[in-house]
Amino acid sequence: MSRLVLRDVGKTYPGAARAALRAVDLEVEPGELIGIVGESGSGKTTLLRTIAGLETPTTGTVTIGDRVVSRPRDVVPPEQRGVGLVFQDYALFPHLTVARNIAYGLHRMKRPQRMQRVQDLLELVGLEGLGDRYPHELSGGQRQRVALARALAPDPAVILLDEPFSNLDAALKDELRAEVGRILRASGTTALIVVHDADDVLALADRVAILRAGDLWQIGTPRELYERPRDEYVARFFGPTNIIPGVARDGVFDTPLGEVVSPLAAGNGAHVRLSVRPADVQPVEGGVPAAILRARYRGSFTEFTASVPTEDGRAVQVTGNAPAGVHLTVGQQIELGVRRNGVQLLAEG
Amino acid sequence: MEISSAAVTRARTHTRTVPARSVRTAPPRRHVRERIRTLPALSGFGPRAWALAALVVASLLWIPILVVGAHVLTPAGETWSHLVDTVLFRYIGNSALLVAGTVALAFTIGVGAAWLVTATEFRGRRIVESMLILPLAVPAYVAAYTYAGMLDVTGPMQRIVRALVPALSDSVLHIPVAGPKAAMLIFALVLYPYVYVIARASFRRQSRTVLEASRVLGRSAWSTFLRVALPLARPAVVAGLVLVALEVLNDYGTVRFLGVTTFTTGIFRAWSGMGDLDAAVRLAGMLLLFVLAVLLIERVQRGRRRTDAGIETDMPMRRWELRGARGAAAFLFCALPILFGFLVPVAQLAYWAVRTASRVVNAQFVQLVINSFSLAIGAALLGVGLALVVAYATRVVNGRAVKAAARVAVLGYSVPGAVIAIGVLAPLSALDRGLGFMSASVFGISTGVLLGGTVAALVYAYAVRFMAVAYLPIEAGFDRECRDLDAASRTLGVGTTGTLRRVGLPLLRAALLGAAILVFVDVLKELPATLILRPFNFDTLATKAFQLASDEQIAESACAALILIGAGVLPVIGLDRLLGGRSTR
Repeated sequence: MSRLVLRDVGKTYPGAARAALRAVDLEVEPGELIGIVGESGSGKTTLLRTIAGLETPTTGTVTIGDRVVSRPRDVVPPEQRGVGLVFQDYALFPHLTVARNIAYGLHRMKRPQRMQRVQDLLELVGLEGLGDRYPHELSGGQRQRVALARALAPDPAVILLDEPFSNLDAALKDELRAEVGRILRASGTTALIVVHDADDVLALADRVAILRAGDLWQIGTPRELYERPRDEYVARFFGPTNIIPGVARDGVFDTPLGEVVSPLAAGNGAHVRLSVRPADVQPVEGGVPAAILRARYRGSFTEFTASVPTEDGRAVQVTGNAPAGVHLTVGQQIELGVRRNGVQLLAEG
Repeated sequence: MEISSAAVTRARTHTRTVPARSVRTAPPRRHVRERIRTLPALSGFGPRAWALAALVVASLLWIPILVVGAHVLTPAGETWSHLVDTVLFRYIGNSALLVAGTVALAFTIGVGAAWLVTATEFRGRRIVESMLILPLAVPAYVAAYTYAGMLDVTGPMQRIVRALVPALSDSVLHIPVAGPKAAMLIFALVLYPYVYVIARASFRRQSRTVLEASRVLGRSAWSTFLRVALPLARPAVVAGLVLVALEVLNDYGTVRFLGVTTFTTGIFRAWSGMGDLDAAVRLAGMLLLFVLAVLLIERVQRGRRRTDAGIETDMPMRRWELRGARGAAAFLFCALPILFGFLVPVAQLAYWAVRTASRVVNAQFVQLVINSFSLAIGAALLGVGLALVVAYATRVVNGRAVKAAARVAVLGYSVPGAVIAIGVLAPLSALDRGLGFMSASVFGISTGVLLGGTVAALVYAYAVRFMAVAYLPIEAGFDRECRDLDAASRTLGVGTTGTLRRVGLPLLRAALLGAAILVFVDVLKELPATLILRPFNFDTLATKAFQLASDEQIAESACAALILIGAGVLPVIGLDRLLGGRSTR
């Protein structure tokens, strides 16, 4: 368990037109669990590989504990850093059993302690009794657990997980998300989890960082990021949304969809931009009039897109959800409203 | 080296580079097939006929091998017990020693060079990476007598030393190029590319993340090589080593020239020296057992563990830069085998060839070239034809018997040429005797040798040995080029023969040509079977070169040897493309 500090870390691959990482500053407290979220190509894997010592940064430094482990042209090799890495494809050694995979990094330990450590880890990840299996004899979820156990075995200062849930089917994913969170908390290790779907780390992480095209775009607690996203880009990481203008008054926002009660509204009359989730846009009696442009039956609800006239004479399009049983047809006139607390405030209006 | 392309077999069994067979569609639905049957003009040769043809081909190719195997069980003659008492154990010991020594050396050179060129970066890497394959084009016996001639008292090496160092001008150095140690070294120098090519392909395919995982878990680069990269490459490396072992067991020219008595020299001595075919067949049978043991070891060495990571990454391995002295050492490690396995012998041969060409290249030499090329073309056509029948039969008929026939037919390449030659000779000379007896008693005419020692027998033996060399590229060609197209053709109502003619052959032109070239070159270089089965006074480039070298006319053999090497370079490059996986980065 150590503090991990990144200062001004940048990486441009030889021959690449654009930097994969740009001046990333990040401080991770001991034992903290950070989720790194980004689209593919946003530099999140490069960030992990730089921390692990598999890539040399072009600028900046990486510090683990008191030790600077990376600076341009001077990198402590991966085997001397005490960083655990769980690869996206797990990278289990196919020629070794589960137990020997986990024991692989324990070569400095005496045999009895090593056996004990392997047993402890098998127990921690819930794979008791499977130590003699080979990786190809395990299910995807089990392989994931072995990869995690192998990375945790040498008691690394920091553990890095590269897209740990991307190779799993949906049902398994939910189960494993909770499980990985439990295991990481139980081990108390400082951890970075890289994912492309913010959903995967909201329940898990102490803080979430959004990477955008090599920039650390925004970092904060899951609640901060959700409620006060820096911009539309961040807001969309949490699912589809409507961006609408608003004016903050005391405790409410004035929007084209009517007044919305929200604790985010500071009473200064500022013009802001708001994010409104479709689930929070519903037909209400006495709401603002709107015309249905499209309706799509989704079973438990009907998703619709409606045109709402604004004060300046133009119209905005919003997507909302109508409860099951409400039948909507194109062209139909309805009245819309936003649920209480159903808006998030974009920091960069 | 005669089975250079047999490397393909081995590599393929381990690498799964060939698209899986399972993608093939189910056979055409019943009503379609019935309709095809009702169209006699289009059906021609039915699936059953293809199956039958494949089984016939496989049996024909196995007759010589079965003859040798079965003969071991019959009661032995006097010569045999004499052989057992005197030399048999020396044969076994020497063959085992040569195999073990060569395999160890080839492992060191082949795996070492393969790892250096895939995992590290040093000055000159690209050059040595592609040139490391070249020694495979040099037949071992050519390398052996080239070095012997070069280091001889009157050879160029000693003359140069004497000219440069006046103090030594009167001394006569005796550098014997003979014995098992010299044989091992020469075998290793020209055979290590089998290991190199296959190991390199295996290292290239290894998942980058698995190697990185080892580093992140605290292992150094060297430890990662020993504990992860090498164990993962093991099946491939062993397959390469098996090829090396089979080549050593197949060799006759090198051991004969260097005076090492092995199974093959024993077979020649028993047959041509003592005129005892029975003893020769028995020795061949023992050698066959030796080969089977080698193949068995290869089978057994795979266990429950798997060595493919299952996921292949597109990311190339990040190379480890070797600078200064370490880079120079890496370069030297890779350059020395090229120098001594290819450049030095070829330069020496070229020097001799230039000096002797005016005397050597005459009408007789042209006849040699014609003999060699017509034999090789004949064998290539036969080999490709037979391979095509078997390969297409496995596509048309999805039966077990046909699959087994294909697998069995391919095994001939691991049987030494001398064994096959003896297996062809034994039944033919029995037939000759029978015919001679009949013709003498019925017509009162003595026929002499009719079948044994004919060009036909020779081509047949080549087909047995080199059919596999043609089969593998053709099978791969069907999988790659034809995919479901032949099935599509048949559901459109075209029969099996029509489909082969209208779809298979046009798509497979390149594969067929490649297969024919591989067989052609292997036959050109083949020595032991040719020496045993050739007609009286019939010489090829290989037999003439070997005979001249054995008669102390090493320089005069250079022209023939250079043609053999030149012809060999072409398929060796093709082999590299075929097995090398991704291109170099």
